[in-house]
Amino acid sequence: MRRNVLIAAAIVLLFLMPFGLDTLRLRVAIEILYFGLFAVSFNLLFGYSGMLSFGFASTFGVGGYAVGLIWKHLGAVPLPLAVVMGALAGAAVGLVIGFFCVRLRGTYFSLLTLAFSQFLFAVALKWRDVTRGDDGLTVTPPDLTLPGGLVLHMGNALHFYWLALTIVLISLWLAWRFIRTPLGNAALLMRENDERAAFLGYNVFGTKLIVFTFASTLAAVAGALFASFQRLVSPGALDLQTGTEVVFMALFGGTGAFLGPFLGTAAYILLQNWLAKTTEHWPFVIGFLFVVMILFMHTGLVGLFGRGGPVQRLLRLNRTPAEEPR
Amino acid sequence: MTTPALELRDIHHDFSGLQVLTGVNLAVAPGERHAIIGPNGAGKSTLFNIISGRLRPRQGRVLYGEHDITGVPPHRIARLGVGRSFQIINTFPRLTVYQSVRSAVVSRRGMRLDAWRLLDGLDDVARETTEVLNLLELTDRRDTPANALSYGEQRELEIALTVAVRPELILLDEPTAGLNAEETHKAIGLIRRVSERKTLVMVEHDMDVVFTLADRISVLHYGKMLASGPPDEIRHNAEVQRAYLGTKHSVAGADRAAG
Repeated sequence: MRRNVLIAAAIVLLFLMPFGLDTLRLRVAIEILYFGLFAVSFNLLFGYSGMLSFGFASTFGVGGYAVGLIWKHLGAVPLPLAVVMGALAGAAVGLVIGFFCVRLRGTYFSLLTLAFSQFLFAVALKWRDVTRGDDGLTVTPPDLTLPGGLVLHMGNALHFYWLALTIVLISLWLAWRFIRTPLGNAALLMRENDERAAFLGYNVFGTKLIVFTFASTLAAVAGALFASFQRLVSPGALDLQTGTEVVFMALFGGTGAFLGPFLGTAAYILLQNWLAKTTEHWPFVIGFLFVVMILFMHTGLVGLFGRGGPVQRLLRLNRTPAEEPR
Repeated sequence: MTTPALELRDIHHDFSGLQVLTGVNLAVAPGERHAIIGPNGAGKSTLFNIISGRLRPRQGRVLYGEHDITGVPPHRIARLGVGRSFQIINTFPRLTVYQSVRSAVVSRRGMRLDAWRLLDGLDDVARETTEVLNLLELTDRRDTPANALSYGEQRELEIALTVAVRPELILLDEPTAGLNAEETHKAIGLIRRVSERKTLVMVEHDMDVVFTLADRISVLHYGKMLASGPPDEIRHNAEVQRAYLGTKHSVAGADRAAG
């Protein structure tokens, strides 16, 4: 009950937040929204199901190219509908890639996802008639007329923020719900011990394929928002860097908690923006941070600041050492 | 004669040319508690892996009641009502006892692909999971992750997972391996309870357990069934004594155990 009130309050705050931000910061907030969704969908695969994909950018990019092509060829399709169509495209591609990848485990799985993403990158780069290659495909989302006559202008950062926030919240809710269903529980079994799950009657291939497809679908939603906001989608959307960045953002936040990757994304983007203004050597700092994370902070920011983490322990120790639990 | 619950016909298997099973035949009647014994390397675990679908035999058939399950994938065999445990602990390390057993219950109820209902809101599943935990006396460990259990408790969880899918045929691979005398005694009672009105096939090294529980015993010796029969007959079988039970001393030990 209390938790529901808190969630509702947080959502209201998120919708009101733009009034406290200038356009530049609002644009950063929008970026955090779709990359955050991307990282959460990646974590459905990695943190929850134990499948480390290095090529997860492929379905992100597919979502972006899908909406770009929809608006180019089908005209003024309303953005929510175009995003759903982009999601379906992501699902289809996820299904095909997953069909080949989920049979493999560990490193082999990771490497094959990488190979597929490189393949799609090459397609995006070379199939110039459709993707316009290196130049990138211009994405032109039409303004959205809401029931009641209110018009959301896609060029207006505030309007776009509200729309993106709505879509991201719905997607997060779907993901959050998914992991609490029996099928989501089956995903956990795949991570923990897929062989034993098979001897309990679980179809390992089928379960992994469904999870892979679902995660790809959400990644495509994120990619569709990304392309709509940038008004451009280029092969960079599905290249290796995008694919590894999402791994880092998820790990940075913490893969053990549902919103960990989202927080990681926010922290990463804010940090990167700040660093880029401060020093031209920012990639070095980010890289160094990644090394420190992998070596000393397996549980990410959530592990560092969350319940039972070192920060909370330290604070509690300073206050009431006698009441230290256990 | 009624159809056997499990029948093996002329099973052959080898690992890169190393002959492990060379024509194994076995018939287990419904409701029977059957123990397979034999020295290390006799092929017992391989046989279990073949029955449960982990391995496909090079030759021969596996029949489960009316079903030919030779080479059928493990999850399909499991769904037909065959549950197996493992010699080496094979559980879900970071899931709690409750979550682990519940996963098996969800599978039994055929809800594996339910992507809509919330797992925590399913009262029947919760009730059935609690029943299994009670049956195996794991209730006070329900919120402990599997990897934090004691070895004996992990063995119990191993059996809990196996029986939570309510199998008609229970396959236990060395259920008392590594347990002390007291734990073994407890495990015997446990196995007896969970195999009530079911068919049980177990591989076991502990002769106490074998002679206490089994209605019939089969002796696997270098890839072949040396003998198969009621405990008394096996104990006094000259060939078995020579090959496996060995010296008079250990046969006497088996006698004591049975008495």
